[in-house]
Amino acid sequence: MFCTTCGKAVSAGGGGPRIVEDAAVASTDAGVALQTQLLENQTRKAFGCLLAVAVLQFLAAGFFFLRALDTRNTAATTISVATGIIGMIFLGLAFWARRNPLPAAITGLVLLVTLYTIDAVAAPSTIYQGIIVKVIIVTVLANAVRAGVRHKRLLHETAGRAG
Amino acid sequence: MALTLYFAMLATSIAGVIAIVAVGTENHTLDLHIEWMMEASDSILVAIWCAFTWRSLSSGLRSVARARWYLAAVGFSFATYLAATIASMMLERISGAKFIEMAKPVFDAGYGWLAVVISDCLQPAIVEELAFRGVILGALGRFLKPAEALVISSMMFMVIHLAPMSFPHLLLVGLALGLLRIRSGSLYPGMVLHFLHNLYCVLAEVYLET
Repeated sequence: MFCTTCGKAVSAGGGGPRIVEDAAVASTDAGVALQTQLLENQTRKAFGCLLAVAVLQFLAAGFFFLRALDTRNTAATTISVATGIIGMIFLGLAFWARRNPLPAAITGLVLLVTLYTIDAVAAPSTIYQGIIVKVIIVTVLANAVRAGVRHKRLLHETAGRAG
Repeated sequence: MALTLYFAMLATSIAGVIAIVAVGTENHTLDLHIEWMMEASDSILVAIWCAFTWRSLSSGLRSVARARWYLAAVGFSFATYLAATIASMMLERISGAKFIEMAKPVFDAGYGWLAVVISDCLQPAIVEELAFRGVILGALGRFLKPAEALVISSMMFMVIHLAPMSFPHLLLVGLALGLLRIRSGSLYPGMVLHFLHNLYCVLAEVYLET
């Protein structure tokens, strides 16, 4: 087939939009804008994830504290305080993620996986408790980190292209 | 790559803790040898990662840095040691828990100062600097601002020690080491600071607490 305006050959099946591969940068400004927006949205999911972890930690801290009151167990009080502190750390990370999602997501992912690993080693019977929630949270944070890194790379490449 | 190195080192630390707990608390010599095996594993892991990330790491190793950065490292080492001593004294008073001894188990097992200096001062200075200020800080610095990369790598350095009582001063030491790496452009001043900081801790443990 040939273009009626310039006479140059065109591909036979080129009716729809061009699919850009995962790691590739789109060649048009509209494509770059779309890729950037998608990656930003994925990175921003870190906020919700970190907030969810903070809420879960506060709930767990409350639970341990109530048990400590019932049983007058100092170990349970210590655990409730430690869990509360971890909750506050993740709350701080969540607010950091509102302004700057990538570093907050990296920090959250590192802390979370470390905590889960230590928990699993210290109390192996608790590995399967909330496993689905743990997997979802880690997956969302890992995707947020991946998207954030690709977003930075994309900005760097498009800045290089423009400059 | 950087996060995988961190998690690999975390796995080694935890494997060591499990092995020590499994062995029991009576055989301190075996505990020491398990710790040394952990250190050897970490050294191999870091060497492998350095080989894979050589292109980005080599600039920090080829740059020797000016003399003033080594003087800064010596000065910082006094400050970080002082901060660590104050933090540990306060935490000991609050919690009642005693800090882990670094040199005593080595001497009790029949080894001398050379073993103490290599295992407690030299190995951490080289391997941890290559890992945290070389591979990890370098990788984070490609996507984050220098201050963000500094804070996150210092936080990872703090957490990997798995010693909550030492977290405050470990974070401070990590920040000082990262700052030296960023400002000097070389890994060597940080290695000097790390070595001296650990050496003061060991000397204080042997000569001040006996």
